[in-house]
Amino acid sequence: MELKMAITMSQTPEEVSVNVTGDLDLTTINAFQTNVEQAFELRGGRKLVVDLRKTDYIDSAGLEQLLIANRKLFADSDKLLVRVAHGRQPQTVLAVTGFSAVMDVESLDEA
Amino acid sequence: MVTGPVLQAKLDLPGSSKNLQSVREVIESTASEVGFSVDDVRKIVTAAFEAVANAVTHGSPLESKNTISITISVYADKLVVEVADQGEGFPLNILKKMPDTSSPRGRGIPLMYSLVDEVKFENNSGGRVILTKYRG
Repeated sequence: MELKMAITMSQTPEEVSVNVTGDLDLTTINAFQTNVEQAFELRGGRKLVVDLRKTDYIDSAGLEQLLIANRKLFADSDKLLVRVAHGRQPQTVLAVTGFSAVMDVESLDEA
Repeated sequence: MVTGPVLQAKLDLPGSSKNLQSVREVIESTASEVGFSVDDVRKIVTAAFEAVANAVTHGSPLESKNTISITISVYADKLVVEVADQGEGFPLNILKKMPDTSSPRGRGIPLMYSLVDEVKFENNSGGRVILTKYRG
């Protein structure tokens, strides 16, 4: 079955970003996990970003992976930065779960 | 007087199904067509998907030999999504509250409670979740 998701990775001198387009859910979580692991290898001391501005949907499996990544960064006294777009489902779900208390959540216009 | 649904859609999936996006699409189009707001549609779809994902993960021990039945019922004042599986049913101590962020797991059911107006669990020849969202 074709996954309704595409992932790209982008880098600047300040950050390494995992950019998710489509659905981040039970059916696509393995691909996301693999990309986040690669981003950890690439990051050096840079900020790790998960960009969900083009993500249509995140479920509890996706939320779980955000928390796992954040916990790993916490060991380096750092936090995950999650970017969401105004009015999209991930913004609603992150607000309900209270993740902004433990990680950085930026609400922006769609990328 | 109790009136029946004005519209009803049913969907059966094998318990091994990975084609779960189709479930979201059916619920989203039904809720949108009957006039629920974009925000409410998003909440209904998210809660219902958690129920379906739960049925795949925990409620289908025989995988493709099990069936997950989804019924979407539209009433004048509400939309009800029922998700029935053929698993062992739900434990009595269901966690309703969002867990602390130190715990990565266990957000599926609390998400349902946060996003719709009523959540009911029934154990009767399998597990059944009934989610109700009233019109804004």
